[in-house]
Amino acid sequence: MALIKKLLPLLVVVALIIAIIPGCAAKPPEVVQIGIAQPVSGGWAAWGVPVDRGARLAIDDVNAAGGIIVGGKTYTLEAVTEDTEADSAIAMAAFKKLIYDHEVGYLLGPMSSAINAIVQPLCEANEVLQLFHGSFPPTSDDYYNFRGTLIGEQYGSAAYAILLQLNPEIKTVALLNRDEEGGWINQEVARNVCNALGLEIVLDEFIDPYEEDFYPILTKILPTNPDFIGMGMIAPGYHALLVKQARELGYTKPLLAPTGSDTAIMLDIAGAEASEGMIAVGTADYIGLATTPLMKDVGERYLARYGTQDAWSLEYYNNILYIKAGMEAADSIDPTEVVKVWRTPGFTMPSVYGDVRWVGEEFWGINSIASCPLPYAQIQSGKEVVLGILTWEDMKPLISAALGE
Amino acid sequence: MELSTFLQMFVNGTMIGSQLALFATGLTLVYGIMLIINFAHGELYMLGAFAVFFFAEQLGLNYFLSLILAMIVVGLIAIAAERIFFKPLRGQHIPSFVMSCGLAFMFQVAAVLVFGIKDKAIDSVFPGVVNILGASVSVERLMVSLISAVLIIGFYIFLLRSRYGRAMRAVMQDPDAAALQGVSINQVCSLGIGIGAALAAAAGGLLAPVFIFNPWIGPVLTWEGFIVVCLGGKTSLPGTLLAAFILGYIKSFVTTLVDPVAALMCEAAILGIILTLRPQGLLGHE
Repeated sequence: MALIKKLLPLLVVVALIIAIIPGCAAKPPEVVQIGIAQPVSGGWAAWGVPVDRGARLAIDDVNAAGGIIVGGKTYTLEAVTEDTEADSAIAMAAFKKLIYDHEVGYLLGPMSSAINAIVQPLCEANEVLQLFHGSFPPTSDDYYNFRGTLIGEQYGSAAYAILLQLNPEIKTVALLNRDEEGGWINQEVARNVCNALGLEIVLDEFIDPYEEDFYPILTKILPTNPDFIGMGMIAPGYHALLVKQARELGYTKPLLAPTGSDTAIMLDIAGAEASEGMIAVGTADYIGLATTPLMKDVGERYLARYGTQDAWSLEYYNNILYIKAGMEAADSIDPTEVVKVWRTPGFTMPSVYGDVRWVGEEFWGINSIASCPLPYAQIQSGKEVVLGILTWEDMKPLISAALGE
Repeated sequence: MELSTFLQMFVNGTMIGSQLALFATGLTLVYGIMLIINFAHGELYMLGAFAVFFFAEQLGLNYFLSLILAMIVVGLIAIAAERIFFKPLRGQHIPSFVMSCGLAFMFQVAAVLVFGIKDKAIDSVFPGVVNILGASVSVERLMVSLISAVLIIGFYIFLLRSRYGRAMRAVMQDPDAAALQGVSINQVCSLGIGIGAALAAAAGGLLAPVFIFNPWIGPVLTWEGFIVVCLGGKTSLPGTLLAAFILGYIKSFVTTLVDPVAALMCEAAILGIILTLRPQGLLGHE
């Protein structure tokens, strides 16, 4: 006992020396955490989980390839996921936890323009680079906020234009959206697109976000006899259910959900007969669509790992590639330095589609949207058939029309 | 307005009312017997839907056999939960409410782990649509209403005619007096929560081919169920039925004639007015 008492101060001193002197302590791992704030539970999980899956696959690929070399040091990436449940208050708590507790400098999220409006100031104030996924366009005073996927004016105007191209007789539309802020914003985009395309809006309605029984609202819509029903911010399962119930009530014309289409869910819930002819923008079939070897390779490994192909999933794989390219070009892991590089004119980044860049300045005064192409498909005989791919250049006139320019 | 539109609204309201009635009957029973505000009741509905999915879609069993098995399995889960978690809290509103919230979360997580996060649906059991004087309704929905009616009537006969049913009514009226008459409160509580859960599971299983389901569908249903129970009279089963159909018709007619937001406001206003004038609910006792 006496010996321990004598040795104790010595042991403390040795421990302090080990902790303080560089080289004696174990080296802290050179890890950059990537925050993922998405709805990974609830009705929006069908959208949120693919973000998590796509990003994690990319992070594993980056790490397996040796990580990111910046300033002579090698960094690995690590994903930290927080569930937003597609709820503003929960999303805010998730963002605070990621920013203040985990001290992340890079964040994938949120999903929803309404939630983004709440959390974006927090990211801007803390200089956190944010790759947001939602329908609302960027504003010229955004700095750390980028659109990692396409926005409403892109897929909305594209979907409506494709529908009109396939069905030139269409003149009237009934618009239906979720009764919450994201739905209101999305409905505004849909109204602009319809007006630009010369469609008469015969009904403009909102529904409870959790409603599964669409018979009452369809009983209101169907007597107006719209040439198609435009569904906005509706999660894939609810979209399919609405199609199923509309067919039960005898509606045979098209139903379009620019944001919520997922062919597998549509076929599972509504069935092949009810789904026939439905338009889908974006695709889950990255393997079938593959325009590059990387896209095919990543699509196949995604399928092998998760047992499914998810709509929009590889767009989030791309997000990690953008971050890696930004860090390497900036030779820094500091988000501010990465943003500076991203905002340099002419800067391109790799993606599964090939090189992309930040675009959108001609419409919204700032280059903050990834110039990814948009595949569009149609359900034919119980299968998704890709009809074509719109590039950023293809989308520009459609966006102009949607914006009334 | 065309007659067919009016009929469609009436049919829609009847369907919604019958679905609410089946779900809320079990909730009323559990509250009436055990005075437990069971916020996991919606999760029992969810488990019923998943159980039918498991038996019918994954094991390939007959749909009706799957429905019966789902009612038994979920009933047994609820009895086990009552014995383990609720028995010590019987009659204590707040602790039992908190416990039921915890159970709800546990059931959600269990469903995620077993069945995943994606929305599920069951293949149509009764395909086709019938037209009644210009009003369309899927055969599935009609069958849900018919089977719900059979289950509710069967339950009422059990409650009125059987020895256990009389014991349950006695406990709902005065548990102390019932105990003095030799009624086993433990047995009645187990039976009550088991039947209540089986009815919720039946609702989940019956509506699984009509709607979609995922591990998180429970809370919204629980709220709707409690609105029905409060409006009806908390422990009054006829009151629950009456309230379910009133709310079903309000939702249908106001949604179609005005919009869904007005329907929600109207439901809330009706609840507020009736509970202000009759705090005990439509057919409840002081």
